[in-house]
Amino acid sequence: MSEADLQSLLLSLRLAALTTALLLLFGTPVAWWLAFGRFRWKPLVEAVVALPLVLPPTVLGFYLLLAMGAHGFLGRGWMALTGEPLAFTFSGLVAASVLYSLPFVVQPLQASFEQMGRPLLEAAWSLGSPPWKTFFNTVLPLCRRGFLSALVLAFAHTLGEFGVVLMVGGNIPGETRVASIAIYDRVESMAYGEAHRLSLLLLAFSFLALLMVYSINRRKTSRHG
Amino acid sequence: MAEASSPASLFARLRLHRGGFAMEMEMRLEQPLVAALYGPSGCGKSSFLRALAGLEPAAEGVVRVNGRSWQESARGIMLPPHRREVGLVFQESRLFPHLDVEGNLAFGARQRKNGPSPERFRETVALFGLDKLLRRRPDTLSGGEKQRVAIARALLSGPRLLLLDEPLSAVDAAHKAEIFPYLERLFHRIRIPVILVSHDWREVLRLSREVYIMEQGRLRRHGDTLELQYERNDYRLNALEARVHRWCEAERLMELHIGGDLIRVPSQEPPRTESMRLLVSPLEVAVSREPVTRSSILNVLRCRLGSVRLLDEGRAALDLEGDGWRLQAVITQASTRRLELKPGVELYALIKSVLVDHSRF
Repeated sequence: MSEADLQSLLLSLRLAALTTALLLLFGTPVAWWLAFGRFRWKPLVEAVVALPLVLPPTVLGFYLLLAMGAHGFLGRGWMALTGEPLAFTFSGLVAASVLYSLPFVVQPLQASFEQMGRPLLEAAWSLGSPPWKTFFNTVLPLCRRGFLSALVLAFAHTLGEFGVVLMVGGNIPGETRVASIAIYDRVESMAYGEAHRLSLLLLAFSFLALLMVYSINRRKTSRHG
Repeated sequence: MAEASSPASLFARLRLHRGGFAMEMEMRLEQPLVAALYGPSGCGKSSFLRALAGLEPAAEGVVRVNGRSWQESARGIMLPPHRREVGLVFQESRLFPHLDVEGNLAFGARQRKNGPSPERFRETVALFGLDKLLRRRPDTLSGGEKQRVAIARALLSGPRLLLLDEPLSAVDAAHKAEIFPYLERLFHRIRIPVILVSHDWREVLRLSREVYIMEQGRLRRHGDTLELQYERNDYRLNALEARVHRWCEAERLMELHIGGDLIRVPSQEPPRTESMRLLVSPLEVAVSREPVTRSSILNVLRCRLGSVRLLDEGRAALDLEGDGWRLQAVITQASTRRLELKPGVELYALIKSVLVDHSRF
């Protein structure tokens, strides 16, 4: 494998890892809120979270590009905060990926929280466990499979994204040229051999990731059913 | 304040409005510390209990345990559930499926700074007969076992108030009989206020001295369980407070004091508690104007006839007043005429059978 391809692969992995970590951090409270909160515009929030599932990546990418540009609110905010632009940078890719993969974390977690329900939480609280501690001694072990699904799906989905990356990141080697973009490049320049190697790697990885998710879910249903 | 001097006490006055449902309830426990909260399903018993535990954020009012305020809505005091030191046992046990029995028991103990000592842990495990279950997973336990674990778990968290929300309603009859002795023993030795919620009057009769009766979110009656049972005039059930005198192994009989009299009850095994509630059906009580000596009936007690009430189908209910006990008997109106039964006459009550185990009633 050429050094450029390896670089793009490592960039993909770095992007996926960082995105997944951020998503678990921010997606968990969102999922919690959706599972247990009682508020009127819950369907609205759920619809917004699910949008990336049905929206063409180019549409999402286009609006993100506008927001992240030098005049967009995200771009200006980021510039004020760090002194760097957001569009066509790795940071911009991370921000876009977080939005793009949000449903893949929020939905399994929300389902998992809803399945656990409030009863065991109430039992834990009444036994003297404060809510933050209850998250670790009760929620995490009971929703282990939900968290594992969310983690694998977010990672794999981020690894496989193309349209959004192309729109907001472009194709800068070492900065925004991830594996999926590199494959596109190789095909454009008729280098099918290289395209094959990268594609096969991604295919194998995605398959294994999905196999893992389905095995997790299977064990879950057979145990409770 | 008065509560501060008496170590164990509960005072609660709570209101809860939710949709079309309104609950308004007041309770004060000092002596006795164990009270039953009785009422039909949906009358607000569980809401009151949940509000005491801090699980109903919309509930307003006052909750004071041992003189300490857990909630005083007027002053903005509202402790969250984990700071209320409450032992709450739910209908459906709510054991943690990812922990074994020992893990469940240790869960609450681990949350407190002064958790139970190893001796206290062993003692509680023994009290609820859990020694052989410690390594088991909750999904392998029977309903009765689950509830015993749930009660022990609540006690081991070192509560200052124990709330039992229909702990027996999800348990089948056979296992109910198995849990009763554990609860009876617990209630005899416990030193913290206990509220037992139940919609089963026999459970209430068997386990509590004091009862609060709720209806449609409000307190309807409050008083001594036996008094209220007597007032109910349901002619199906008598309850007697009895203290164990001795157990006679050769005869397989247990002798118990009721008031100033002695009563004998068949019992295969020695009693597990010092005192208990006996249930006697009014249909199993006969009366005689003279002492009956040569008969198969074990218990012949002297008493006075309080009143006679005529029931339908030619039957009559007698209120019998003995030396520190009261019973109702149902006989035929023909017998009341034949024996010339009038209030005030001296009688002998012939008690054919007494039930110690309520589940077979």
